[in-house]
Amino acid sequence: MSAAAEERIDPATVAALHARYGEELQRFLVGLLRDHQLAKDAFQATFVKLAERGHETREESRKGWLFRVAYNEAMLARRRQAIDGAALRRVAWGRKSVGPSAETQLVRKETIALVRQAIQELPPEQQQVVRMRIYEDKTFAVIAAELGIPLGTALGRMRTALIKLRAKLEQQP
Amino acid sequence: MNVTPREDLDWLAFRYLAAELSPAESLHFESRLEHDQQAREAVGRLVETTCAVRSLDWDVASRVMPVRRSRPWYRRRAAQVVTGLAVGLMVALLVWGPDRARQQREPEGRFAKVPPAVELAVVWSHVRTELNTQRVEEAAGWRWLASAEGETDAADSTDEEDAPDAPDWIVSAVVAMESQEEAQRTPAANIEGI
Repeated sequence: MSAAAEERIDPATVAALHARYGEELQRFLVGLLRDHQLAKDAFQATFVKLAERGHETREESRKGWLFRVAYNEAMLARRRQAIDGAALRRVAWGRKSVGPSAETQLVRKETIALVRQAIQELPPEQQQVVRMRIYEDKTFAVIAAELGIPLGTALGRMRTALIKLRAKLEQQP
Repeated sequence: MNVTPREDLDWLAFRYLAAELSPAESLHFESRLEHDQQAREAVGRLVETTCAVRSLDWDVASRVMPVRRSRPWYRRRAAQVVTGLAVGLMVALLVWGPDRARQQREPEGRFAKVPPAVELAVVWSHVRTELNTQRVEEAAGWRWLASAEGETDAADSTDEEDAPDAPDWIVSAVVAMESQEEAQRTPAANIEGI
């Protein structure tokens, strides 16, 4: 066995890090790339890097290191694909790239149940904005125009709703 | 040191994900993601949230979640107060309402008119006769004793003395009946007089 191989991080540690931060990293990459396939590639590349260079990192800073590598891999994937970020985002935010099944895979059933419950607890006007913005993919300008409310009001409702949704999700273990 | 509150950061991440940031803001946030772990985690959180929201079946959800107009607390409280007052007013009307007040103003004699006076009088007369007959029959077996003691014979006493006390409503009914009969008799007498 070579010296380099001996220095590499323990596979069990890689597995443990994958189990611990895998979901979070995947979500981060999907958020950056808005493309499940690209995110998957970047995710894989991140853990390959961890296996190769993980021994150079300190244990307490490994989470940050993983996210930084994931970010770099995502940017690299973007450049490789030569896709304009804004165009990609438009596609990814729409239903073509990220379908309900992919989203369901990305989040746990418990999370979905909590979000459903949180949405049911929202006031109707906030529910409406959440639906129009996230589910129907309308911009805030369009939402404000359709509802006949100021843009700031639409933004405010969405922001308040998000805070409540996040608070609900924080309850899960 | 990053002093941005977590909610602000989440909101920024959401706007970034929703492409609601200007190109300059978007680039700035991406450069921040390069070194800011909190910003990265915020992106991860918001992806989780938006994906969960989008994975819901909103068509079903909209049936499950009817849009309810929630009224502010002061309107709900006002509605409760008005309802309470209305109920209280209804109860007050039932207890002390005009009918009751009118009834209280009525003289007691008029209450006596409520049962048919003539019928009551007939019933009472019949009961009274029966009672007296029964007493006479019972007393017949004990008359020897009464005589021996030198007491007043029950047969010597008048009916009025032996009769049980009539209740007020019976007295009123009888009085009413008598006055009615008298009123009927008077015109006849006048006719005879003619």
